[in-house]
Amino acid sequence: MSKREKESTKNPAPSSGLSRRSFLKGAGVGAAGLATTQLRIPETAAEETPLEQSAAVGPGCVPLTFNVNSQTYTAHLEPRVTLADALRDHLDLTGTKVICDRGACGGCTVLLDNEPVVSCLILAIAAQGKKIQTVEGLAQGETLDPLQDAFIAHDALQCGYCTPGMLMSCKALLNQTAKPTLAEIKTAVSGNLCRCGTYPHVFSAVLAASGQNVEQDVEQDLNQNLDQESTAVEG
Amino acid sequence: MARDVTLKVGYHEHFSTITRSVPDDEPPPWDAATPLNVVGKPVPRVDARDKVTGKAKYTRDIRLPGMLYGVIVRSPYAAAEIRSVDTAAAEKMPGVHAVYVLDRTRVRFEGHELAAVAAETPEQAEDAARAIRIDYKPGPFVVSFAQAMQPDAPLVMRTGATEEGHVSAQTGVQPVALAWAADGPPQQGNVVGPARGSLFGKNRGDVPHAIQVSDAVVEQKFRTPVQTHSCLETHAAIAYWESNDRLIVHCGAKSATRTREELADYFGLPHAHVRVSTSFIGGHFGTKSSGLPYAAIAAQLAKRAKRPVKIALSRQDEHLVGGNRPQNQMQVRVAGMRDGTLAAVELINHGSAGAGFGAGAAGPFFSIYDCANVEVADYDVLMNTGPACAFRAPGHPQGAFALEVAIDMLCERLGHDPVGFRLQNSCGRTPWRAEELKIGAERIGWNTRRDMRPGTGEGPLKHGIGVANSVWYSVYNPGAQVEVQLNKDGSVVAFTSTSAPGAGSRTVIAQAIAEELGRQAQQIEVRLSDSDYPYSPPPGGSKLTSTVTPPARQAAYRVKQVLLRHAARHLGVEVETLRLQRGGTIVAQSGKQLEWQQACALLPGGKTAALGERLDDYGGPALALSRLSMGQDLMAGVQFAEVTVDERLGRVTVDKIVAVQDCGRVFNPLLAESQLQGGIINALSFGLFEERVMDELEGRMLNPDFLFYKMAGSREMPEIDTVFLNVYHGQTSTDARNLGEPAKVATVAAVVNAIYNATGAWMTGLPITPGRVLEALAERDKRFQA
Repeated sequence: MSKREKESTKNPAPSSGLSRRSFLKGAGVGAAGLATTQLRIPETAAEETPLEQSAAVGPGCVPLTFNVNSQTYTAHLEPRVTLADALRDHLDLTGTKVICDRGACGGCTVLLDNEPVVSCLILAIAAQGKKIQTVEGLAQGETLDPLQDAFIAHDALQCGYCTPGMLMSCKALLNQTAKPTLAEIKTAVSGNLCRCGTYPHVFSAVLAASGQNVEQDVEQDLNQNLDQESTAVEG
Repeated sequence: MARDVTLKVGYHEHFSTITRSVPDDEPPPWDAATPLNVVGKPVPRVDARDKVTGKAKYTRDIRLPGMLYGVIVRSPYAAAEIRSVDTAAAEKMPGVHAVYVLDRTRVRFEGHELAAVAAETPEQAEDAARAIRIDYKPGPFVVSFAQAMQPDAPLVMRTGATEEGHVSAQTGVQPVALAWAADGPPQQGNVVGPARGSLFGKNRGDVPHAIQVSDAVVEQKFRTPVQTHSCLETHAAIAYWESNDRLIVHCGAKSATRTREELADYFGLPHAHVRVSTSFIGGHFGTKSSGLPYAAIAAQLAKRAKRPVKIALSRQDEHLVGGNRPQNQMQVRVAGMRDGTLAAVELINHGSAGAGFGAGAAGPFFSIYDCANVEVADYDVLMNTGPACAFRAPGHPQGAFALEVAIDMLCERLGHDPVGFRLQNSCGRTPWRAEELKIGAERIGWNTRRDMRPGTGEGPLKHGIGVANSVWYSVYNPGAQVEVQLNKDGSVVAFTSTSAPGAGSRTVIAQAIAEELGRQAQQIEVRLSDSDYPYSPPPGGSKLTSTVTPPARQAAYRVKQVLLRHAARHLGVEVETLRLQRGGTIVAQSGKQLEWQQACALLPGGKTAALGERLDDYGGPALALSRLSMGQDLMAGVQFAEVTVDERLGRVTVDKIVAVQDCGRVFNPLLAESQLQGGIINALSFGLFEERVMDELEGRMLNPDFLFYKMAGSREMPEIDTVFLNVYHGQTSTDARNLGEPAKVATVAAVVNAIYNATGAWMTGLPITPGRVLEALAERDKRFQA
């Protein structure tokens, strides 16, 4: 029921014709409430859309167009489908994780016009016309983003399930703040839960990715490891 | 056939040699003196790239052609009889392809499975699940100790192998630990017990007499809450039928082989007709040991729909049925002598695993101290709540919290220094603990910065420092196998059925093989989590590294012998004269040499493979069960905490944790540090924040989400200083031990002891919320006035 098309962004897909009003009508009060805190509503041809076209959206599937990682995707989705579910279940971009499904864990964090948002609290229909960046869009081909390299070098991941959301929150921070402090890093990922407890290594990775000294790096710990010294002496 | 091998064993400044009888087909064991290039180095985890790019496919990420989405209908009641289940309306809903009703006439906890539907989209499946009409007759239930232990309390279930509630395909109930046999201790109402011993130890000495003649006795009650695992990836499975009698399951369960057996037995199929696999698992922490019942339900739906069906639990369902750490009420007595000898420890524990078993907390009481007199009694209290299962060091964070805080209370009574007392009483079986205590005390500033008169500091912000011990066991599975395959293009692939939920199984296996073959870890491809691969146990019990690295190394050693034989023939030299160098070059004494790939190209048929097997520890096990052995050596750890308590708000801030830990040979200091930090953070979260809250009137969980089930986040992170002490025992060819569980044992007690040092108030109930701190401060004030 979904259709994925990859096109160059130079040929943007035609607007879905949804107006702000039709979105609100289709999506209901919950989404309107969200709009005040999380979203700016797409202004695609809002004034030009004839009233009768905007009268009803859903509950059946409607054609939607997304710009994800500089590629254009189209899908037929019910208006109630969240951006997170659209990415995962319909666009096959499963790097983004749905963990709590209620905006409390940050696992589904993506960048929407460069702002970090939890995609489980945004309807897919409301993300049209915006630049969506997911974890799949961090690397340039085979070249990883320096933040991804730092996550690997500092072992800022264990099971890896929070990692995509963690990376996107950190990426948003580094986009705005070239050399964040430890406190700023903690705040930036304060909405991202990690059950394995990788937080200290996430902090180290972000410091390293922003070219700052990491106080407790592994080399130092190795040197502090008493037995490494004795092995070196006796081995 | 065996040979005697002399090995250097011991730890920092305490090395000696030992002679072990080593089977002939084993590679020469690595000991404390062996120089290694890959093992013991901070090698980045081999699957990290997949995880940072979003390419890693977890069960929830897999979408098969034609796949349907399944939703399980669960009881909203803690106890009810099921009169009827009407699926007629649901079957007609858009997109619905299958409906399945479980054969269950009674539910015993909120979330108990009753029916399921499969539809084309998750939204359609949810709509259809809501359309299933179930006629319940709600009954009386118990969801708290007070309710469950009333003499006339409604009975949750009877114990016994034939009773519902025991491990079975229908219930999916797991015992928390191996402490409980099917013909377990006696049952009175909802109270089952006592168990006076477990896998972790047995009662010893004469506690009543020792207490009678002691100089000081501390008697104290401690309470801990239910902690849910809250794995970020919820339980999930995708099932489809290749033919009528062949089932394929992608499953987030950590044991592919066990899940295969359970599903095959459930459907009456030959084991080889069920294949279970997965690639990545989003955390386990002890749960996910079984694919039941969710994978079986997915397979039932798939059978009816004749299409693949995915079931992924919601966050709420995960809280309700995804497993949890039992809650405990522990009555502790510890007694000591004026000379600082620990005379006796006693525990009477009532734990609840809900509608399940195994809520013991006695491990630390048997294992941490050298005390001659130990008596424990573990009781299970049944409740109408989701069954508990193993959770990172079952029983130990609770037991160590009670014991280690009681020990500090005793130290205060006797006028002994808590570090000195531990040096005197807990370093006999694990002498390296003394080294750890000294290192930790130095790094936290025990002698210079600790407030010597608790609670007397100036101002509302009080600072304190505390200490606690941990213990864990050298657990391993004899018979575990790893296959190593060498290909003519030089590539190396390893196969074994264990899984990789996050600790780094792939990486340590790759390291063991890379070390043996002169390769880098990244050059070894490790394929896991497939029931068709050779058996190795899932992570759990902290046994993976010690269980899988010896057979991985042995298999690599065997393919190396084959490779060297072909190289010798090619070079026209004796095989004994060849050496495989780091980087893969094979060099003969004559000077002739072959590069790795040239040598691999000689393999007949283009490849060779060998199977390695985990033997018993060279020194033999202390305890051998059917699939599991306990080694002779305990693992010791100590943790120190530094806290700030705001006495106005009752708010505790953990400023710093110093952890000094033994995990045998540190296989990978980078990953080990992650593990140790992770265990500490999970313990802090348990001690300070987490609590499943039950509504005693409705029998339901009030906070089955991540909003009101509070867990530690980035802003609650203390500075964490980790130090590893390599302790060599010369027990296997890699001499690796493990780390996941010991990391979590001491933290809470160290924090509570630090809070006492700061304020003079004892925290005896968890989590340490501001409300509880203010209550404890009020108690302290009463005591100070008196």
